Amino acid sequence: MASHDAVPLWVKSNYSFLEGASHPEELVDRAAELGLGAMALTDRDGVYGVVRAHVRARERRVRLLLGAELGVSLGGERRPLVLLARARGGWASLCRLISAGQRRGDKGEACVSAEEVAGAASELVALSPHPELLAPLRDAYGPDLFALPVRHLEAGDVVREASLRAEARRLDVPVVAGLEVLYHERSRRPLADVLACIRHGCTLAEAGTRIRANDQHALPSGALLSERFRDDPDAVRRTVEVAERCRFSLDDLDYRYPAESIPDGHTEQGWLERLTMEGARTRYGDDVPDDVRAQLERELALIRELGYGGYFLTMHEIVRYCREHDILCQGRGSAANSAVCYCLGITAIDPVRMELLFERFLSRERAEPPDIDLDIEHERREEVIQHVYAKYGRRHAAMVANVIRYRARSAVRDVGKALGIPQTDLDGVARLLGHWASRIDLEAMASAGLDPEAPATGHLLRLTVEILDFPRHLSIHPGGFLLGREPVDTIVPIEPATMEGRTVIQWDKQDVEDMGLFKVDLLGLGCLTAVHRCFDLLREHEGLDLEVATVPPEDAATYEMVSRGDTVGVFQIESRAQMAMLPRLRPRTFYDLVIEVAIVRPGPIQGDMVHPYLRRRQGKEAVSYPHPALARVLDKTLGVPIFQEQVMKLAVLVADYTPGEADQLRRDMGAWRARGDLERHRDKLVSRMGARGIPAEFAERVVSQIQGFGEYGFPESHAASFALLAYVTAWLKRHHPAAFACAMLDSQPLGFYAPSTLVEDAKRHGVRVLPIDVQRSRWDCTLEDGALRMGLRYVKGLGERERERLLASPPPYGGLEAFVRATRLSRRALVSLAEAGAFESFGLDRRRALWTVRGLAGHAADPLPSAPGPRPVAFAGLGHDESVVWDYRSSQHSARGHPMSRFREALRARGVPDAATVDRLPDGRRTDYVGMVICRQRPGTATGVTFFTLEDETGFVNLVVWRDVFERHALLAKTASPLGVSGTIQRADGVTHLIAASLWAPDLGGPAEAQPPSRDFH
Amino acid sequence: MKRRVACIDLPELPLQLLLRDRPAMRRGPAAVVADDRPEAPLVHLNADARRARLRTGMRYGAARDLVPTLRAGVVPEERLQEAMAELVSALQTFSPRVEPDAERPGVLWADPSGLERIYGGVRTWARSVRAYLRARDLRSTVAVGFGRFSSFCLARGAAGAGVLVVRDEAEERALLEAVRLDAIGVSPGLRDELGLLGVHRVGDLVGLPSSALRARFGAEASRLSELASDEQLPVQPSPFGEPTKVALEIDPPDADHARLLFGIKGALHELLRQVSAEARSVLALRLELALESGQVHTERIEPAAPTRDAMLLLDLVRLRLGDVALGAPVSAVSLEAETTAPSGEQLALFPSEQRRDRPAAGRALARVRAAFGPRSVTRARLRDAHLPEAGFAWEPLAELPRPRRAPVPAPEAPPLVRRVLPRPRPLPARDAARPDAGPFVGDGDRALVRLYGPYRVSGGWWVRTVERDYYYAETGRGDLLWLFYDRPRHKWFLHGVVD
Repeated sequence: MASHDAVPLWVKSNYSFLEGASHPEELVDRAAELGLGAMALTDRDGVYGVVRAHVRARERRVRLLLGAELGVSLGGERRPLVLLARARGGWASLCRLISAGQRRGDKGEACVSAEEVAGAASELVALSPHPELLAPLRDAYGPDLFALPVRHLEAGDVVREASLRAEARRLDVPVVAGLEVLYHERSRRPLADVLACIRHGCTLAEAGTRIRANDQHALPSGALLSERFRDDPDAVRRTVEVAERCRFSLDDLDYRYPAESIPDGHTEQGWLERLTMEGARTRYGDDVPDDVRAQLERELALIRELGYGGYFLTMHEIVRYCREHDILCQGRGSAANSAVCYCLGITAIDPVRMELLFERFLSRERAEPPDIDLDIEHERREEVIQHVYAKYGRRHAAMVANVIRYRARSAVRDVGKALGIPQTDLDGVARLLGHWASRIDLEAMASAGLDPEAPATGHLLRLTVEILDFPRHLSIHPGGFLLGREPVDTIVPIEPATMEGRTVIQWDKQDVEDMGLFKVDLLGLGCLTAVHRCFDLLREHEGLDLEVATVPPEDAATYEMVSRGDTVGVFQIESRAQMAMLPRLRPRTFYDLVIEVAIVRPGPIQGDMVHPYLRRRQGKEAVSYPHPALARVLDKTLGVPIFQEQVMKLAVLVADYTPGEADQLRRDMGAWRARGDLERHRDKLVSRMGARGIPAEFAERVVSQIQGFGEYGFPESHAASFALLAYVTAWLKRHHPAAFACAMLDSQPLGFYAPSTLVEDAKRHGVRVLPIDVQRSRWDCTLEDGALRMGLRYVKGLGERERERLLASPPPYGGLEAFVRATRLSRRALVSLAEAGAFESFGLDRRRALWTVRGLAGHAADPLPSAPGPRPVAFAGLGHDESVVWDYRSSQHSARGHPMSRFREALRARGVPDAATVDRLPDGRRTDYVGMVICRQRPGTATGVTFFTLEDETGFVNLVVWRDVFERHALLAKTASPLGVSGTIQRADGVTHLIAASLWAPDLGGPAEAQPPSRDFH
Repeated sequence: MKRRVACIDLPELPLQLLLRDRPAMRRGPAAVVADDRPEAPLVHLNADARRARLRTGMRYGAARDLVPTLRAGVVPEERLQEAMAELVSALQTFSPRVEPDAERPGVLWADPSGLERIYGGVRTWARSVRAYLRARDLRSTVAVGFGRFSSFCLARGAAGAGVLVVRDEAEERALLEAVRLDAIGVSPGLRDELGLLGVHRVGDLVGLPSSALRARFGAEASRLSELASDEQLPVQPSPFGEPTKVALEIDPPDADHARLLFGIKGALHELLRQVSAEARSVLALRLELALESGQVHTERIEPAAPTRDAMLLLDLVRLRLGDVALGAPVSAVSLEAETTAPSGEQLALFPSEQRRDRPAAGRALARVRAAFGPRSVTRARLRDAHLPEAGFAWEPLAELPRPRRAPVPAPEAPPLVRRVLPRPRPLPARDAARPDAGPFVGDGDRALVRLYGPYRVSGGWWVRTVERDYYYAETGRGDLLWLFYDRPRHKWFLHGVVD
C-alpha cells in the first residue's frame, strides 16, 4: 500500500490549547514529508488553527480536511467525537455547534449533547472513538458515521477497541483506522507531557495518568497506520474514503460584508456617493475644489469596482452614531489616505491637502479589504461596541481574538513549574529575561542560580525553547470586529469572552486578514476623552465652542511652546525622548509635527535616519537622494526615509520588489519579532539596491529601519492623524492651561506622566491649584474662577461606591457630623478624606479630623447627634512641609507645594541648584542636583543608556546615565527618589542633559515619604 | 517586692534559624520568604539586605530584580515550633518556669525568682541566659522587669543592649513609655493609624483615653493601652505545662524482662493516674530504657485507639520488649504519654455488642505491630501511574477500614489474576546477538509459543527514561507470563504471571 493510501483523521495541533505539541504548520510540513496526500486538523473544541494550517497546506500541496474534536456530554462524562466538514454546509453546522457548546461550557471548552450533534448532521462526517456515541448518532449520520478505534500500543486499547467494534457490528457502522495525533514527531513527546502538566496544574512527578502512557501520538505515515491495522486493511482504506468525502476547503467560504440599511430608491454605492459629496460640501464648502472632486471620483470608482461600498457605509454609520451620542472619534491609520473617509467624517486629515496617496489605503493590485481603525474616547468605547452588537446582532458581529502565546518569561515559569523546579528559582531566570525576550540560553539560567549541569536545567532550556510562540489561551483583540452579512458563526465559531457582554471569534487578526475578511477596529483613545472634556469645560466656563476641526490652525504661540519641549500632557510628543527632540526639530508647521510624531520611533532611530534628517533640516547638510528614482518618494522628508510606506516604496523602486513581495515585507514587519521573518529580506534588499548603485551602508540602514518598523512604525497617514491630536492638545495647553490640566486629570489613566506631574506642570504654567475640599470639590476636578479645584477622585481609597454616595448627597454640609450622616461613607473612606485634608473647611486640622471621623464612623445612622467625647484630646499640628507629605501620601499630588521645596533651603546652602538653574548652566559645567525621579527609561535603541527625568518645584532635569555608572549605582538608580546626582551639563540645540558621573542618596535630614510614582523602564 | 519576670527575645528567630541552618547564606543579602513563590513577601531581612534597600513586605521577585545576589529561604512553621520547643527545654535549665509566647516566635518568658543566690544576682542570671544562647549561635536580648508585657517591651526597646534589668517599677515605667510602638510588634495597620496622630511611643498611647481608643482603633489599641497602664502591671506569668511523664530507677540495674515489666507496671499505673486526672487518654506511649552501658533504648508504642487501659498498654509493652535484645542491664525507665481528649465512644461503659468487632480486630493488629514492628501491617493503595510497579504502594495500616458492601456480578468466565513480582526478574534473550527477537523462558513445553503485544509504557524522561514493551506470553504447557522488553537496556524481564 502506498504511503498516501492512509489519511490521519484525528490530528490536534497546539491550538488544542495545552494539549497538542506541534504548530499546525509543523503538522502540515510533516504530512508533506511523509507523503500523506491529505490530513485532517481537528483541534479540541475549536478551529483556532485552521487558517494557519490552510495557508501552509496550500503552499505544501497537502489536502486539509477541516473539523474539530468536540466534547460530547454523556452521563456527566466528556466523550470526544471527531467531526469533519464534508462541504460548506457542514462547516457552518460545525461552527454553529462549537459556538453553542462554547456558550455553555467553561471558558475555552465546548460542551454539546449527543442530540445537538445529531441535529447538526448535515454534510458532516462523525468519527467516534467511543461505543456509547454510535447509537445516538446512527440515524442522523447514516453512512457518515464511523467507529474510530485508536491503537497507541496501550494495554487498554484492546478492550476499548473490542467493545467499540462490537457496538459498531451491532449497529452496522463501518470502522475507520485511527490514531490520536498530538505532535508531528515523537521528539515532541516530552513537550506534550509538560503541556498536560500545565493544563492540569501539576508537576511531572505528580502527573500520573494525566500524561499519556507512551510516545505513540506522532503523525503517522501511511505505512505505519497500515502496519498498526494490518489485521483490518479495510479500516485503513476507509480513511481515504472519508478524505474523499470531505471536500470542504476554507477557500469555499463565501464571505459577504453586511448590507447597510439605505433609503428606498438608492443603491449601496449610490448612497455612499451621495453621502460623500454631502460631506465634501461640509468640509470644503459648496464649491468643492476640482482636485478634491477628482480624487473623490477616483476613489469612489475603485470602491464601486471592488464592491466595498457597504464597508464605508458601516464606518460612516458608526461615526454618525458617535456624533449623535456626543462621543468623540477619529479614524487613524491608512484610512487617512482616503478623501472619501475624510468627507464621510471618518478621518480628520485632508489627504488631498496633505498629498497622501489613496493607493496606500486601497488598491486594485493588492485586492485586500480596506482596514479602517477608528479611535474612540476610551471611557465611552464600550457604548459603541455594544451599539455594533445591537445593530448587527450577536450572530453577525463578534470581536476578533488575540491569541496569547508563550514568551520567554511565561515559558520558563510554566515549564519549570511542571518540572518541579522551585518557583523562587524560576523567578530569578524569568526576571533575567525581558518581557519580549525570544532567546533563552544556559547562561541566563546559570546566572539565575540554576545548576547548568543538573538534568532539570537541561530539560528546562530545551522545552522552553520548544514551547516559545505556542498558543496558551485566547484573549480578545483590543477593538477588532468581524461583521458578516450571513451569520459569522457559519464562518468561524463564536465564544463568550471573559469580559461581560463581549463575544469573540476563534480567529485572530492575522487569520482574518489571511482569509480576506473585513474587520472594523474600534479602539479606545484616552486623548479623545481629554479633548472632549476640555472642549466641554471651555464651553461651560469661557463660552468657547470648539471641535477638533475648528481649533485655530498653525498657531505660532503653540509651535513656540512645543519647540521648547514644553509638552507635558501633549498627545504623542510628551515623552522624555520627544521632549529632547522638539528643540532640535523646532516644529513650525503641521507637517513638522507629523514628522516629529514619526521620527522618535524605533524605525528611524535604528535606521540611523534621525540625525541626517536633523542636519538637513538645520541646513548643515545638503539634501540628496540615494537614487534619482527616490526623489519623488523622499522629497517631503529631505531625502531621508522616515515613514513606513517610504521604505516599502523604496523597496519597490530600487530593490525591484514586486507588489506581492512588498506586501509580504509589510506582513513580515508585523511578525518579525515572533518569527524572525525579516532576515529573508536582508540579502534581497542589499544586493538589489547594490545593483542599482546604492551604497551598501545606506541599504543596511534601510534594513535596520525596517526591523525598527517591525518594533513600532508609523505610516505617514497614521502620523498625520496623531499629529492632529498632538496639535489640538498643544493648542489647548498653550491657550487654556487650566482647562487642559483639568481635562487631563479627569481622564486618567492617560499619557506618560503621573497626575502629580500634571499638577506641578499646571502650577508652573500659572494655574492656581486648589486642594481637595468636601465643601467645594466635586468627584472630578473642576474649574473654579479660573483656578483648578482638585476632585475627590484623587483621594486614595475612594472608588465607585463612594462616588455614588457623594453624588447622591452633594455639598454644602453643615459640618463634619452632617457630612458623615449625609454621605454614610465607610470609616475607611472618611479616614482617607481626613488624611487628604478634605475637612479643613470645617475648621478641623487633619489630625483632629482623623480622630473625630473615627469617632463618628459607624454612628451615621444613629437617630441622635453624637455626645461630646470624654475629654478633649490634643494633637500636634502639621507644618507646611508635613502637609505636602500627607497630600502625596493620601492623594499622590499636592496643591500646597512640591515635595522638593521643603529641602530647597538646605540644598541651596550646599550649592545644589534647582532644575530651572540647571537648565541655564553652560555646556560642560560640573554640577550636583537632587530631584524626585518621575521616569526611568532604557530604550532598546539606546545601547545601555538609561534616561531619567528628575523633577523639582521649578521643572525637569533630563539625566543620562551610562551603563557603567548605572551598574556602579544600580540599587540607587533603581530605587532612590529623591536621587542625588553629580555630573556634567551637556547642551546642544537648546536641549540640556545632565550626564551622570555618580549617583547618591541625598541626606535631606528627614524622611522623603512624599514620592510621586515614577514611570519606569517602559 | 513584686515577682520578677524576664523576657528573652530572640529577634527575627526565623532568619536566625535560616542562617544557622544554611551558613552559606550568611555572607551577602539574605531573607526569609513567606513561601516558595516569586510573589511571596519577604518577612525577615539580614543587615546586608536592609543596606541594599530591601524592605519586608516586598515581593521576592521584585527584590531579586533590585538585588540579584539576594538569597532567600522559607522557614516552615514546623521548624519554628521545633526550635521553640528546643528553646523552652534549654531555658528550663535556667528556670523551672519557662513559657513561650504563643503568637510571637522567638519570645519567651522565664521566672528568675529565687535563683539570684545561685547565679549571684538577676543580672548575672540574665547574662548567663544570653551567653548560653550566644554559644548556640542565637542572638537575644534578656530584659528583667516586673510584668510580662513590660519586660517584653523593654526587651524590644533595648534591642542591641543585650541585657536590661530594671531596678524598680518607676524605672520600668519610664523606660516603657519611651519604647516605640513599632518595636513591640504592634500590627502594621494600627501602628500606621496611630502614627498619623503623632502617637509613636507607648507613653503617647497611654495619654489617650482607653475607651475612645477602642471606639476608634479597636481592641488591639485599647488592650495595649491597658497593658501599659499602671493598673495592669505586673502581669503574672501563666502556669507552665509539664509533660505527662513518670520515671523509675532500677537499682541494681537489671536485664530481666519479667522484672522490668513488673517495675514498668507500677510506673504505668502512676502515669495513667496523671492522665486520668487531666481527663485525657493515652494516644501513644514513649518508653525510654537507660542502659548501664550509657546507651538509651527508645520505643514508641501505639494502641489501636486512645485508652486508659493499663493491662492493654502493659501487654503491648510486653510484646514489644519480647523481641528486643537490650545488650546491657537497664538502670532507669522513663514512661511518657502522648495524650488526647477521649471520645465518648472510648469512655462508654456499655458499648453495644456488634457482630463485627472492629475494636477487637484493631487490638489484634496492634499486637501484631507491637510484636513485629510498625511496618508489619500494611495495605496496598492504588496510585495513578502508568508504570505497573508505580501503580500501587504498600502503606502502614493505622486503622482497620470499615468493610464496604459491593455488588459482585456473576462472572461469565472465571477472572484471570495477574500476580506481580516484587521486582522484575531478568530473563535471558533467545538470541544473545538479537535481544529484541524474544526472551528465553524454558525448553520443551515451557518454551514460548505465542506473544501478545507489545503494549508500550514509556516516560520518566525527566529523571530516568523508561521504555518498556510489555507482552503476555503463552508457553507450551499453557502458562501465561507477563514480560517486558526494556528497550534502552536491551533486556527482557519477567514481571508477573497470570493465573
